[in-house]
Amino acid sequence: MNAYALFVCRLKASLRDFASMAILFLCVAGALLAHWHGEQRQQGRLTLALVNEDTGRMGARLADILSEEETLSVRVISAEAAERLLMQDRAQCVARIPADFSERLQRREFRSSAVLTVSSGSAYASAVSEPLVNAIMKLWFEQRTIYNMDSFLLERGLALAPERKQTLEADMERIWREGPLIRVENITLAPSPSAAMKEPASIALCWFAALIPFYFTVNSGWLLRDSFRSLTGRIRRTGFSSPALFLTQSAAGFVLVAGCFALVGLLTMSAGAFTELVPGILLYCVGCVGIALTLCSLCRNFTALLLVAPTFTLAAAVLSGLLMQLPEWAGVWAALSNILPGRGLYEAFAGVPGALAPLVALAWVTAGLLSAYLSQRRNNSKRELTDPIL
Amino acid sequence: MSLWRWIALDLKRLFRGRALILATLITPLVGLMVFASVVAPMLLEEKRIIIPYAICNEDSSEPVRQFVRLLTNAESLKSLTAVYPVKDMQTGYELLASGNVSLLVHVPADFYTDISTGGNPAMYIIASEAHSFEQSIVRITVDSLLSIVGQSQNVLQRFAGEAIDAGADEAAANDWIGGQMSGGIEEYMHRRAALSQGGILSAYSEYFPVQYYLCALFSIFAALAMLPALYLSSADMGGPVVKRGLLASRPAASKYYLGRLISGAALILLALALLIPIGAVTEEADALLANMADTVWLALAPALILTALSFSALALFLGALINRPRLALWCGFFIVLTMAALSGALVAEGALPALLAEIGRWTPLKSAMSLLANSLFSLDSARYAQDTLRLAAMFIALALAGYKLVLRKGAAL
Amino acid sequence: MLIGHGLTKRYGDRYALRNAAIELSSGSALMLLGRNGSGKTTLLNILALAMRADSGTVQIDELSGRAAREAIGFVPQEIALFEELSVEENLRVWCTLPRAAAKERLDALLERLDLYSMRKKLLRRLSGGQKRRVNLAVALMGCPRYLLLDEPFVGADEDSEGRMLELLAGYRDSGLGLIIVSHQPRTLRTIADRAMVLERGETTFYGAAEDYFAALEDREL
Repeated sequence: MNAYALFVCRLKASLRDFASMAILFLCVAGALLAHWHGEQRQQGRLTLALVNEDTGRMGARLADILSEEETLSVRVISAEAAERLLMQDRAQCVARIPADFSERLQRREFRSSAVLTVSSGSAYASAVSEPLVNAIMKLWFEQRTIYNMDSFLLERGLALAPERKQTLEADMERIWREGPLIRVENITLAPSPSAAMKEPASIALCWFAALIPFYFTVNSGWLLRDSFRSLTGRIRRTGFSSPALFLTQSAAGFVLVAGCFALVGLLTMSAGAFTELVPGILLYCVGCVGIALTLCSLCRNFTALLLVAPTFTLAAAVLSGLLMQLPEWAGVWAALSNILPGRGLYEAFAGVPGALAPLVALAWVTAGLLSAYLSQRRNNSKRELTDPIL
Repeated sequence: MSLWRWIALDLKRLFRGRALILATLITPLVGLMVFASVVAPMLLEEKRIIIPYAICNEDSSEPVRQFVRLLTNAESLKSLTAVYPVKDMQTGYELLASGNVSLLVHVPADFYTDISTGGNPAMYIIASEAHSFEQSIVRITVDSLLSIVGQSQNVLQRFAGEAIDAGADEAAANDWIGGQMSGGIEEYMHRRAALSQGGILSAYSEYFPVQYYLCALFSIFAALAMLPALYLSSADMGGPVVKRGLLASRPAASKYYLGRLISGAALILLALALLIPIGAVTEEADALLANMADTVWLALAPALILTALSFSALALFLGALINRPRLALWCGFFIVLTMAALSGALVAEGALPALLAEIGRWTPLKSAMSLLANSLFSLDSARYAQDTLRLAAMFIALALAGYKLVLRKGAAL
Repeated sequence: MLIGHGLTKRYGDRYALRNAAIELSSGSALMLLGRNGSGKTTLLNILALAMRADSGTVQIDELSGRAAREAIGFVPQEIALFEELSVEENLRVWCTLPRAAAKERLDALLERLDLYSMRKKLLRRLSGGQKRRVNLAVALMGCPRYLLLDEPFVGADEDSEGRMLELLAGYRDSGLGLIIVSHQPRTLRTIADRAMVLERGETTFYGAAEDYFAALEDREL
């Protein structure tokens, strides 16, 4: 058997396999999208149906303030229409402003001044409740300040002319609209002082590394083809060893993924910083090859593989820390995650390369080759199950 | 062969592959376990979570010191946070490194001066990556608190300017500003009362809705559980079952269709039946027990059955349409992925363009998500009825289309 | 000569093959017959060096090791090919010749087996008969001296069968030694010059094909 020809032909076959190439493309696209959206959670615009029953001016002003919010699309409508929109999932939340809203604010009361209903099928309700509460507090503060200033001036025998009050109100609207004055910034500490000096791994690389086990797994589906089972006997007869066969077949996927890592890395990081991460990335890919072979051997058919692969990818991504660092209560998971290649990559990305990574990669490749070999032997010796209908 | 025999036979066919059945039933449990034990615990215990943080105030002005005192001593915050004022950043970093605090809040010197003179004031929340979630929550709250504080300061200064123009003493006006700010901040600590809620932080579930994502998980795994039936149906339509004329007559084809629909739905129901009890523990015990009266089960059982039947009908339709099993499997998988994206399970809700969101509303996955959310967590009968009708309509359409295809394929030989 | 002598193989208590002996010279064809479970495939696998006998020897033209393996071309009963590769790719992975020589060999083989026009087609898109020819082509890639075929006519229609027989006859005439396992002796009448019949691992007939067919007709009469 010609190992080089087998590798080249397998590479061509991988490129021709539309379904797995689509998975690879989605991994790359997902990673780049995650990077370019940055760390901000993309909340999009939620639709808030506002039922304004207020008899005064404040309800309308509340609607105006909320309309300035980028994350909200506000529709001022009747209660029946709002309920209908919520039911049809065309609005994610309904805020009801009661008839005495202006009156309560003028009494400097803000408690229980609005009712917010959020659909149970909706996410990120804080995107609505936060702006709503803040808008109510702004209007309350205005009324409180006007009242208290009148008292302040009255104590001194002074008063504001009505036209001055009108100007003040217009100015207040402008001030609220100008947005927050004070910046609040998050600073995330680097894991180690030396790591703080280097350019960290991009979000895109982390996401790509988190998603790519799925591609590795489905790309190893050749192990599950019926034709492959009868092929291995023929191949063994030529003296070409099973491990060499499995590794040569897997090498094509390895090369494709390494190429994509380079693409994602160079698009989102400097070349120098990316080059430092290459050994860790290659070790990770080796480990993923082993995991893919192991999973394929355990699954025995492609349907089971397609069910297992996404769940495994999710679990590995979470536990390895590539997508988010494990919280402190997840100590057991953190300990277990050391057996995952992703953990080693995470440490390499954090600038703290672990000594375990090469061992883990080797262990997984060994496990993968062994399980693939055992799976082939089992398939060669088992009898076909008879379909009860045939 | 009678209908019951067909159903029994089909159940035997579908359930004979042990590896496949194990994969169908275990993978959702693994996904849920990872979700529940890593992401959700913090949110399940929202009432008992304390975020310990240190605050280092380097600004010596009285308003800022008062603001920090209020943050430190506010009653409404005591159930949610434990604040440790520190005299310098070095001490704060030491507390962070030792794990005694999750966050370090830094108010730089001249913070108030920058606000007053229209500079570029900034506050910093420092944490390690492990505490990024708490960091986000505190940041959102402090952000909104300070936005009002900063703008309120401008409002007060504007008013004070008017008061001085009207003849008031400047010193008295400045004292007045200080008093207004303190009073305002103190009330602001109870801002959530505007929506009849407590405290200053909105509920954790608003930042990361466990129930929403649980229902998304259930629905996605229910959809994935249709893949075995899809594969078998495709293999039958393109293989010996049709070629041997087993479906040549209408009665035989009808029994085959019903048998497959029921066996496919049985597998999906089994997957859901394993998930639901585990997911239901996200509710607090007393609330769960209160909900466990008649209404939840009356709502949940039909929701589960309808969800299972809909995905089974989808599997049959795709299997009858695509006669190459592996291709059918991939198509089914990508359809599930697309439905998940359009339904808001994978992409943030509201981030999708209106047309795609509208298409998403008409997928079985979206209706299943909404139906399960309503049945399990907060029953809104009008919404429940709407989703039931929508899902039932999709089921009928898919079932009819799939049935027609099976009849046609069976008779084609 | 391909010589198998005293070949015995046991699976537990059961003898799959007992003391079998076989000789095949270049340019001749031997048909290997018997019911299911008689030991035909076991004998073929031993001769193809895919399996070790419990006792006995296999001699291939005084060769040993890799050279001996390369002298044997084995065509299994199942289509043992890469479904996701094209015809050309399936053959290329079995060829260890240098690139130019490999291309020449490949083209010649494809032409001879009437596969040239479909060389770029993926294997899974071929008909059963076409796949069988590719299965045969793979065994011929290494220029073997002896070709062992396990039921090459299963599922073939009359036309495919006829073409396959023509090809095999051609290879026999050009010096290749053939052992063909089959359930249908009459199909091989035109091509086989020797016959061997196995029953429960024992050899019940070993001799000229004509003698076998004569005995068969006598029995029928």
